[in-house]
Order: sequence, then C-alpha cells, then structure tokens
Amino acid sequence: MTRTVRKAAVLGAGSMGGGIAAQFANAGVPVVLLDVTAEQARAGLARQIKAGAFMHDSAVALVETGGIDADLGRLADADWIVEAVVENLDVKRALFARVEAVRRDGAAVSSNTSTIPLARLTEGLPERFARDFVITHFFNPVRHMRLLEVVAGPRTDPATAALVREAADRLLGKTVIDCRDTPAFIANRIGCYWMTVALMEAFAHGLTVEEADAVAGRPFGIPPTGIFGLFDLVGIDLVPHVWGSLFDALPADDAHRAHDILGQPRLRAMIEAGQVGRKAGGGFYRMVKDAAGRKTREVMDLDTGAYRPEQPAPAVAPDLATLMARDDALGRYAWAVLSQTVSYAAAVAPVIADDPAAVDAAMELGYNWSRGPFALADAVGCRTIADRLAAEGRDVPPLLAEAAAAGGFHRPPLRAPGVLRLDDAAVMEDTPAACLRDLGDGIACLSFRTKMNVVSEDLLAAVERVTARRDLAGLVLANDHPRAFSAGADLAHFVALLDDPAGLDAYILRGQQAFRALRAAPFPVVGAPQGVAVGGGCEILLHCDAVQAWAEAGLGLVERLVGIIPGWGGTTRLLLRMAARADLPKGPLPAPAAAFETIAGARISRSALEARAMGFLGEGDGITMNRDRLLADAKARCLALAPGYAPSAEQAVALPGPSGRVSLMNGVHAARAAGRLSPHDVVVLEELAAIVTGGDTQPAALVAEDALYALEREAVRRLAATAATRDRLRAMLETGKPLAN
Amino acid sequence: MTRKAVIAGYCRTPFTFAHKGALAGMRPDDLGAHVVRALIARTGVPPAEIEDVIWGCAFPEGEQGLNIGRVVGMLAGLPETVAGATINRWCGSSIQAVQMAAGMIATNAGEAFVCGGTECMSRVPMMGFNQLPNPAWDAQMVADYINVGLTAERVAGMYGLTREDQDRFGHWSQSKAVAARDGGRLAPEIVPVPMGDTLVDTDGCIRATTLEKLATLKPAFKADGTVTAASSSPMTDGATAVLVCTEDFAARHGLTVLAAVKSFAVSGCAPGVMGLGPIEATRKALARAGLTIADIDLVEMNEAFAAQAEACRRDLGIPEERLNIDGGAIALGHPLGATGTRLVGKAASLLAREGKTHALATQCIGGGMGIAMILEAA
Repeated sequence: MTRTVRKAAVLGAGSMGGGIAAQFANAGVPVVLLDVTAEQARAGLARQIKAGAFMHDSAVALVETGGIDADLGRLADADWIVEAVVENLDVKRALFARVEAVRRDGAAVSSNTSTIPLARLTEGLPERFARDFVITHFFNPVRHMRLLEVVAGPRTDPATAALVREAADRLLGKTVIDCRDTPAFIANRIGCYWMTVALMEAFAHGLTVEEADAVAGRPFGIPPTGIFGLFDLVGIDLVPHVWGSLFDALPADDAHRAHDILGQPRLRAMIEAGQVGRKAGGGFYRMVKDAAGRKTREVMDLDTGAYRPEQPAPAVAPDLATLMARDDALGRYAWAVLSQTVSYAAAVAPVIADDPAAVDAAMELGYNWSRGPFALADAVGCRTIADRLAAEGRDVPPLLAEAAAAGGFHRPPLRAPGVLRLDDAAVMEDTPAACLRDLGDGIACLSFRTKMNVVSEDLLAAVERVTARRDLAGLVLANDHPRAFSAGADLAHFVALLDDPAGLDAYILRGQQAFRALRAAPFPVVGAPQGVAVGGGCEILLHCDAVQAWAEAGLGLVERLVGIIPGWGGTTRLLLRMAARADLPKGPLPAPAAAFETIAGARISRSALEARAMGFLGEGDGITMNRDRLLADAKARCLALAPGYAPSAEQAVALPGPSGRVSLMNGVHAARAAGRLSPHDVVVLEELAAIVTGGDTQPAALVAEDALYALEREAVRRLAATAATRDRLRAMLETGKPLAN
Repeated sequence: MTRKAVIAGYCRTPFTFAHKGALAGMRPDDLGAHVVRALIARTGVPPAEIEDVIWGCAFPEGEQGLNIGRVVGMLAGLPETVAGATINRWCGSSIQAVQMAAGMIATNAGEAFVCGGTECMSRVPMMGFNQLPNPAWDAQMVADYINVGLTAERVAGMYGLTREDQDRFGHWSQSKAVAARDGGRLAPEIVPVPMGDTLVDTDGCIRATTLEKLATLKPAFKADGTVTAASSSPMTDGATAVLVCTEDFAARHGLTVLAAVKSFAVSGCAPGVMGLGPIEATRKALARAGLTIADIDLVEMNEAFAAQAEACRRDLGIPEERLNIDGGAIALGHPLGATGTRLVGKAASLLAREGKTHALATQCIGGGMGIAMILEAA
C-alpha cells in the first residue's frame, strides 16, 4: 500500500508550527495544531490568518486546534507529526516520548529543529521512534519559502523518509534537499557564514551601510536588502541566540570561528540600545518623518552609532567580476566576501551535502539568492578565484581547485523524480513571441516569451498556427517566467491603435478568434499558469479545456482598471462558467451577478484556491502545490483528456436582459454614492452589465455565445473611444498604476 | 355589530445578526415553526380551533418560498386542517398579517389566527436572489425603490437631522434595549432556540456603546453622508408570532388578552422618502380610531433608520418618553417580514405591562409606504 499523508499534526503553534499547519491546510490536508494550551494554539492560528499564511479562508477550517495535555490523543490517526516547539533538547525529547505513546505505527515524526543534531534528538528513544523520525527544517514564512531541508538518520526507515519527502514535495510544494546531520544543515551553515563575513568585512573595510549593501546586494544576486538591511529584517537581537548556538555546534577548526561576530562592538551596542531592526523601529536603517511629514530613511553611522540622512548608493558594476577587480575599498570588500564565501562553501560542501549542487539549491531557495555560491563562482570564473587566492597565499579548497581545473563547477541543477522542465523538450517551432516544444506522447507546449508574456499580434499568430496543427494529441500552455504567465493584452499596441479604430477592432477580433480556436481545436488544451495571469492572460486560460494552476498563481480580470471590459471572451467565458455552477441560486440573475462581481472587482487572486472561489478555476481544474511539478502535472492532465476528445459545442444561455442590467447598475450606483467607485467606473460597468445580462434579451430566450462575444467587442470599441478610458490606458502604460478617473 | 379582534399572546425568537449571528444556521421555516409551537404552548390555545396561519415574509423565495405560511404551520405540528398563507408587504408584511386576521374576524371569516413572520437575512438576501426591476424605470426610480439607505440620507437632509442627531438616536435605542434586557423586560417575549448544543436565548444585536465610538464610524451609503451602521437597523435573522382571535374565543378558552385592535391604515408616499411612510399611515389610523397622537400612550415605531424614525417622531409629535421604551430595531434588529408582529405584540404587551390605554405600532416600507395599527387595552 502506498503511504500518503491524509492527516497531519503539528506540535507548537509559533510562527513555524503555525505556518506548517497552514500549508497542510492549503494542500487540503486536515491538520491538528497543538500548543501548550488550546488557547495558545488558537492564538497561533489567528496570527497565521493575519499574516496571510492561508491561501483561502476555506482552508482555515481544516486546522483543528487544541492543547497538548488535553488533546495529544488526536495525533493517533495522523500520518505525519511535525514537532515545532521551543528549540530545547529536553523539551523536545520529553514531547517525543509522549508522542510515541499515542502515534500509530508507521506515522512519520519530524522535528523542525534548525540546530539540534538528529543523533541527539533520537538518543535513548525506542527503535520504533527512531525508525519513523527525520528532521524537516522549514523556512519562514513557510507558505512562500520553497526550501525544505530533510535529515534522515542511520536508523530512519527509508520508507518513512520517502513518505515525508513525497508529502513535502507534492502536498506542501517544497523542494526537498537532503542534508547530512551536521550543524545548521546547509542553508544556514552557508548563509550565516556569508552574513558574518559580509558584515565583519564591511566594518574591516571601513564601508558605510549604503556602500556595503550596494555591493553585497544586487552584484551578488542577493536581495537588495544587502547585508545590513538583512540584519535589520532578521532582528539583530537574534545574533547572540542564533550565532551562539551555531558556534556551540561547529567543529573547532571551522573557518567561521575566524570572525568574532558575537564580540562585534557596534552590534553589541545596538542590542544594548534596543536598536535591533525593523521590528524595533530601526536598526542600521530607520524610517523617520521629515518636517513635511514625508517618510524618509536614515542610516546609522557605523563609527558613532548616530543616525544621519541616507546617502545615495555608490555606483557599482552589476557584474561581480568587474566589481571585485576594482582597486578600492568597495572592490576589495567584494573580493573579500566572495572569496571567503566560495572557499567556505567549497570546503564544507563535501561534509554537509551528498551533492554540492544541493548547496546552490539551498541558498537559492532558502536565502533567495539568484545564484548559489558555486554558480556565483562559475559566473566570476573559478580559475580567477583560485589564482587570486593562491596569489594571496590563501588556501584553495580541493573542490574549488578541481572546479578551476575543470573550467567551473557546472553542477546540473537538482531535480526530483518526475519533474519535467521546458528545457528538456525538443523545440518544434521557435519565434520571438512564442516557442512550441514537444513534451512527448503527442503533447506540445506553447510557451509565451514576449515581455511579461503579453499577448501581442505575434503571439496571437503563434496561437493561430498551433491551433491549426493536426499532428498534436494535446497542447499545454506553460512558460517559466519567474512572475508572469501572461500580463494580458499588449497595452502599448492597444494604445497605439486608439487612433486606428479599425485596427483596434481587428486586434480584438483576432484575439477572440485565436482564443476560440483553442476551444475548437481537435485536441485538448491545458493552461498551466505558474504566475500572474491577468486580463488577456486570464482570458486565454478561460478558453482552455482545463487549467492546472500553480497554487500561488494569481488570476484576475482587471480590465476595469484600464477602462475597458474583458473583450477576448473573458466576460463570456466567465459568465458561462457561472451559469453552469450548481452552487449558485437558480434564476436568470445569479450567474450574471456573480460574473459581474468578479470582473467589476478587478482583483488578482492571491492563490489558485482563491481563483477557484472567484470562478476562474472550475471543478475540472487542478492545483499543483510544487511549482517544479506544474509542467508534468499539466501534461498528465492533457493526456488524460486526449482519448476520444471532442471539442465542446458552442453554448447558449438564458439571461435576464435589461431588467438584470438595471438591477446590477443599481448596485453600481449605490457603490458610487458610497464612494467606492469612480465616475468612469460607472461607465465601464454599464457596458459590463449589458454584456453579462445578455443585451436586449429576456429570460425566456437563449443567447448564443457568439452574440456575447460580439457584445464584448462592441463594448471595447465604445469604451476605447472615450477620453477617460484613453487616460486610464495611457496612465497604466506610463506609470504602471491605475488611474481612478 | 363588528366583531373585535384581540391579541391573546405574543412571542418571538431572539433576533441575531445575519451571517455572523447565532441563528444563521437555521432555516427560516424551522425558525417560524419553532416560534409557532411556543405560541401555542404559552397561550394554551387548542390548535385545531385555529383557522389560518397568516405569515409575513419580505422575500418569500428559496427557503422562505413554497408559501412559507403553510410550511410553518405544518412544521409546527398544527393539524392539517389549519390553513396557511404568506403575506408580502416587504417590511410591513406581518403587521399586515395581523390586519388580515382582524379583517377576517370582522367579516366572520374565522375566530382564531396565528399571525407572524420570518426573515432569515442570512439565507435569503434582502431584495432576493433575482432582483429584476422593470427596465422601464429609470435609474433614479430603481434606486429610490431599492436603495433604502439613500432614502434615509434624503430624509435626514429634509428634516435637518445631523450625523450627531442620528448617532444620538441610535445610541438612545441601544441604551433603552440594554436597560430592558438587563432589567429582564425582554426575556418574557423571547423563545429560546436550541442550536446544536447551545440554547440561543438572548438578542444578538444589542450593543452597549458610546457616542464617541459611534462618531468614528464611516458613512454606510454615501461618501459624504450622515447615515452609518450605527444609525441603521442591522441585517437580522428572526421570527415572531401573535395569536389574534375574537374576544369571545379568548373568553371561551381562558386566554389572556393583551389588547384589542382599534384601527389600521396603510398609505403610500414617494419611494425616495419611504422612511416618512408612518406619518400619513398613523394620521389615517388615528382618525379612524377617533384619537389624536396625544391619546397614544406608547408607540412602537420601527427604526429602519434613525433618520426616518426621528423625522416621523418629530412630524407626528410623539413624545420621546413614549417611543420604543424597550429599544427599537437599530438595537434589537430588523428581520424584515417578522418585525411587524414584534411591533404589534410588543405594543399589546406593553399596554398590559404598563397599564396604559392606547398604543401605536407603525412602520415605514420600502417602495414608499407606511403602515399603522392602533391598539387599545383589553
């Protein structure tokens, strides 16, 4: 029997435990969340709700709270029990003994420890416990940090480790990195070292806060908080805690010990003064209001500890190789940080990881580095680094020496079994707007590749070509842009066409026809949004036979914000979906009202679950928690639809006509009176209300979908002719922000 | 001689907020049946003697559909020989139900009636699931008919009622309701409702609050308006019932008579000032009773909005100390179709409790109407 996690339990409702429980719930897995008292567990749950850990309100109901003393018995049917209580060996072991008494055979137990070795956690506990025990080290916030470090011990049953890996991967959406049972595992071992070096070298090189952050941030491919900003974010008061326990655990000869971060006088003074970072109102940076009431940032002078106005960041080369060749404090600082980080990673990698590629993956996913230390070294040149180290009389770790000799580390990225990547697939057709690849089994994948994947005329042409093919068993729409599945219509093109009404009409009609061709094609089409799909990007998904969405995908019809309505069939398709929903009241108005509400709201969903509640995803659509698995899941869904596939017929629907429009507009006027809509919103929504209620129909007649598409086009044409819509479009194009005129 | 209709029993469920309140999980017909069973038990009326269940409901569709008056009687376990009807006059539905019974009594069309109403605004939205006004009406007409909050703003402007006036009225209503609840003066009319393991036995909308707190609320209907949530009645779930019968019937069955129906009137006005409906309806009812407002000892006037209730109070010259002495709908809640029976039942009960002679129950009604009933001590 395959073991899967059907029910989970989390012990400890702090920020990690609560976040882990929320992520189980996001995956649809019922979870028991216990803390010392039921009240503490409820408070922990409330903090997670407030912090946005849940993908939708409906997931909250899957979390059952309780107190450890009263409710430990509720763990009896849990398949995976995660311990996330205080970082104290005795407390954890005492709790494990109690868990052992109630858990069922084969239930996995894991500890979310970040510092305590597995060997010590399981010491003295029965074999049955050790067999089912692993360490699972999550990162905060659990919902958004994709790294999970897993440590299995010598006594761990491989099946238990496999169960945890599988559930963490598929249900919780994490990239599982296997770590050895060494201090701080991988990400924090390297990450804390980097933080120490970047901080201490900044002091040693006499840099200002702004200078250090300018170098340690973007050029390293590290978030722009840099190093001082990162300490402010993390909380400087945690340094004695985190680094203290790390130094307790590190080997005596570890290179990290060369830097006395715990004795750093400025840090100690700041902790003393309570200047511990953002949560305390300021650390190295602080926000103050100037005389005019504007918020400005001040920066600490590292010598005096006094705050002064922030200075512009120094100009630094974005590429590290150029930067570290500079013969000044900034260049020497860049080299000091890079050389030590790469050397340290190369020195410890063979000890902490089975595969050095895991080090890069851990830093990328756990610290949001765009490149891990080895990829960074490859970018700068391993030979350059090794030669300069040698020239300075410093050690060159063997791993680095090997890489220098081999021309680089060039580690293939880690990949879990079953993961499918676009790069794996052979290219069938390649244009600047889109790339068509062969995913195997007759399934092709069309990937947009315009800027933010906007739907340009060229992209529409690519859709036209692929829908005309007769050699496909199915089509997946997927791409690997970091943020956007598609940002919608090509706004610049749309604006350029404002003075060419015929051209604009043609663009709208072409989009409708291309999207409708996806429905009419003799093969199934599956959309796989991995990021935001807004406007036309959402409309194309509404034309797919099925959508397989990444759990964090953001879908939205936001056309109102630019003064138009969804005119590429989005209004029609959402309306028809709402009309087919069984959970809406009967009668002519509820479906139009539901479609109207979603489109008028012009919101982007904050998750796929929310997109489902908004009507963008239907019953037949799936959600993939692990972004790496999205393409494979989408292909599988497409394959499942392929046998005997027949395109769906054109639909007709009963709609209320003018009385429904009057009703919807009455709500619009009320919202306008209450100050929730702007004057032009009313004009836009009048057009929308007319479409979703079917124009001049009446409830006893049927409206064909073709007529609805025509109503969309007319509405866009009329709105695009208004000055207010033009102002909105231009404002969005120029500022990226909606204009509320 | 005409036969006189008397009120021989009144009870209601607790009134609780729609959606977040304790009764949101109960069907409206079950809630109605619950209150009817309690009325039968409390009055001791023989169920088989009842002619009809006349039931008010402002939006009689969905779970409130299928002629809820008939459904409520059946679910309450009344003999199948007892008929049932649903009355819709929006917010005035269940005063109208009482008047239907009084009229049937007057024309020798029955001796005893269960009258009441149910509105579960959690489960059937205000204006219904399929709000489809006639498209021949222009937007202003539709708004006047449906957006009652804006009509309250209009009335406030006409009568010069400021934000402070309205906050004070809302606070006054809450204070009276808190005092009545804490003094045990609401409990006698309330029928506790079991919801799972808990017994819901108190009103859920009453709030002990301060004028300072009310002053912080944002306008609810108009960006620069004066009407807030605290000067409006809340969306509410609840059911109410009264027993209406002839004097002779009451005497024969040993029922306790609270009051007699003296006169009744409905009236129409412009939909855009629907909140003023009680003024003309009350004048007509007073004239029919041969009384003036000075003769009225107690007034139960629905507080759809503080603005309209205060406007009506001023226009009619109702002394403050006679108005809604146990609090009004701003504090207690306003389950649309159920409210009218609360006003009639409450007014009748107060005449008995306070030892007074005449009482008025009156309401404004969306679409531009007023309804008024004058009761006299039995």
